[in-house]
Amino acid sequence: MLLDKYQKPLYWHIRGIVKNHEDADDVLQNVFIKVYKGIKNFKEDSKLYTWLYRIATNESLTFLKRRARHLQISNEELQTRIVENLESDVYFNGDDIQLALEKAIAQLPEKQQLVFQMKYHQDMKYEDMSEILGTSVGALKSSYHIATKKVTAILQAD
Amino acid sequence: MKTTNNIPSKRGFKVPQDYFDTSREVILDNITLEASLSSSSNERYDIPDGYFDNSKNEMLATLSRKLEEESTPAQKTATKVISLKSYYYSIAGVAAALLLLASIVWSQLDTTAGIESIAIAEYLDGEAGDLEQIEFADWLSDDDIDALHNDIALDESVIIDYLDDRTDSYHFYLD
Repeated sequence: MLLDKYQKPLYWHIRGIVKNHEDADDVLQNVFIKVYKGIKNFKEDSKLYTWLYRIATNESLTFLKRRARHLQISNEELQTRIVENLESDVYFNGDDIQLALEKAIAQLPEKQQLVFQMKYHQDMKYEDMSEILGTSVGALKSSYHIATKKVTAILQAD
Repeated sequence: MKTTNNIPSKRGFKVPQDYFDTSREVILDNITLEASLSSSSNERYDIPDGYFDNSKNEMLATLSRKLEEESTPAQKTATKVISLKSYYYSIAGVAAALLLLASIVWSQLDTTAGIESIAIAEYLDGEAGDLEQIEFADWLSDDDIDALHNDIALDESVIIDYLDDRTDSYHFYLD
């Protein structure tokens, strides 16, 4: 069944973007509702896997934008607040290095954050990422390269 | 793709105990609810047999008819254009006629009044001068005479002076 197969990977993909467990849970619910509603319109020419990830990515980004608008702050400011809250999050047990890495990722532009997470943390293929994000493989490689250099520089500076 | 179990341990993220089991139930409940809501919302209404088959053809026919009407606007649905020039001409014509009529009426009224005044003045100067007071008074109606009496406020001294002038001296009577 679709839910059994994709529940966990989609959850962790969403969690990597929104960071907070409760938020990730909300977004996951919405994703499966959308999947249920849109499964009839799913085109067989694209992979089910990339279609699901595209929905999950869009829902996560929409969630963050809506949250930022609700708090009347910029997306960058929201990212900073989210990683600051990680230190007191009961569902985060990372060490100092992992926390520093999350803070460094949060300073990247939105697209580079996505690319870094999907490549570094999920080791996704560039071809799949290209389908999910609607960006060429070359641009994704370049973006990942730049993101890696930035994260390294931020960590070294700290 | 990496196994999903590696991701939380790598990033420091964790989930509540038995989260994925309970989450699965919640998601399924939500989907079931969504399905029942979407289906029940349509079940409240009934539609004629074969509506969707017929409605598609009717819709296409209506659409093509409207497109045809739009493509020939001059023949069928030409917008009525009202010339402002003729409108202004008619307004100006009516205004001119009214002005002419008003000026004629005004001049006639004015002329009549003038004729009457002149005629009366000439008559009084030329012919009424020879009339006796009694004849002049004949022209007046009773109402006019009453009005005259009402308007004249005679002073007693004036009456005495008048009588003095018109009558002989009282010495004459005494004599």
